[in-house]
Amino acid sequence: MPRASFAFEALGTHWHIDIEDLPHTLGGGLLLEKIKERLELFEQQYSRFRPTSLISLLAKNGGTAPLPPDGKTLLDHYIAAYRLTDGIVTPLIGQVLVDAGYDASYSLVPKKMTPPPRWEEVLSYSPTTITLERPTQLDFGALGKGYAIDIVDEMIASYGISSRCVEAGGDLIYHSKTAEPLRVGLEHPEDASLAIGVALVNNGYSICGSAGNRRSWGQYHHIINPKTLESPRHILAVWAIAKTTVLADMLTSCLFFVPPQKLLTECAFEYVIMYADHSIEHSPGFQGELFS
Amino acid sequence: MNKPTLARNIAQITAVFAIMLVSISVMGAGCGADKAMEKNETKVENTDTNTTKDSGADEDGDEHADGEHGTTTETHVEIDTTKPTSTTAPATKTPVTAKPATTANKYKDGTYSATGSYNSPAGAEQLPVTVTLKTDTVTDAQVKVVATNQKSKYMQEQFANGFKQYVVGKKLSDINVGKVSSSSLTGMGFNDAIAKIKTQAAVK
Repeated sequence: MPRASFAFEALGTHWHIDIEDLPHTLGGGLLLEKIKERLELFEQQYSRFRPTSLISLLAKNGGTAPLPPDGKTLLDHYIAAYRLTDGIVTPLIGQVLVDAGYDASYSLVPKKMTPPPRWEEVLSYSPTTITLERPTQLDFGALGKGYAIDIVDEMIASYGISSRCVEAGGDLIYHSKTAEPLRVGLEHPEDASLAIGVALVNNGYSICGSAGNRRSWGQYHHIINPKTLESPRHILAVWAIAKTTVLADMLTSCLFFVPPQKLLTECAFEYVIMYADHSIEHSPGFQGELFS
Repeated sequence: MNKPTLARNIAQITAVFAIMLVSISVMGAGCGADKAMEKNETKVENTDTNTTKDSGADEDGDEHADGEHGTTTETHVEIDTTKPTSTTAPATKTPVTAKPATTANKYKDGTYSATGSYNSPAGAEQLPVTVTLKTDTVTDAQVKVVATNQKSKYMQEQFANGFKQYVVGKKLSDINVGKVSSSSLTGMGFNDAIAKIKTQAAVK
């Protein structure tokens, strides 16, 4: 069976997809086109950087809008994250990010920031609708990319492809017919040429990583606590391994703000945390090697 | 996150260390200084094929003993700063240059000690702990094995040898991996903006 590798830009980062068993009846070029179309649709709906997206229209007008079929899973994960972090991980973080400077034109100049409203005050949804009581800027960065990776992964699987790895900006989900684990280097958040360890990611699992090093400006990086209006500095990097990328992505966002034990009461996952003093903590079941 | 007083911070660290002897997870105690970490984007993609090389299970020297409870009380705190304190006032009236606000510590640099107490099956035990703080980060931590009961001593030694796991880092080019997981590589727009700001902000 032929192999294929795709590399392209989408959702503001680099995507890399490896496929081991492309069916002879499916052209690689055609599959790539379909993946790109699907991601374009995702951005048209959920990106706050698109002036006509669902998110941007709700930010301008508020009110009730139809929720696309993939929206419920997105919001279900957000409501779980909101509950587990007592409101720190929230889709209502959009205006905070914009005011900190991470706006549509990347001005990166902080203005006055105010804490966002509570979920119960402004946001509600059903499987087919989303309602904002007043114009509010939503942002789905905390787990949106992970969700998009799952969507693409499922699309690839629907073509009968079983061995594939879908990766975007350091987050990935991995499947292999041979069921051998994938060795994933954990990049040192302060030096991209170094790894702090290697994680073994089993067939059917996702690993997501998050750190404050890249999308960083002045005193902020892309993760901001809406209650303190500061970016967390006590943790340099986190990784989570879970059965879906949306969950692993959600957990890396949460791990910056709550202890892993809290999240383990509801979610099954492995983790690695690197603190500001360079010490590392990992879950007891973490498989891999940490260099120390 | 509450900002604990320094004394309570040490008590907490001591309590954590004492409980460590009978429990598993280690929680780093670092408080990072406010520091903008601006890095050049490097594209990290490794398309080597997957290997079946056994990387080995992660070493874990912790002990878990059911039925042992840790109770901790802070018995004393010694404060031993590394900076000598000046006792003479400046002779002349020279303007004082203020330290930039962004580098002001929450906690004074220095080495701090405390002794935690806990109960083991052999009775009451003590565990002296010393931590070094530099720019609000724990840069070093030591515990002293003082138990005399054989089993308690063994447990303290196990803990002393294994409680710290600090990252060293290996060159990605030296290790064999199929993929690399990191924070998201940013798109061109963001990097362009950073580059522009650096130009504007550069001291001319």
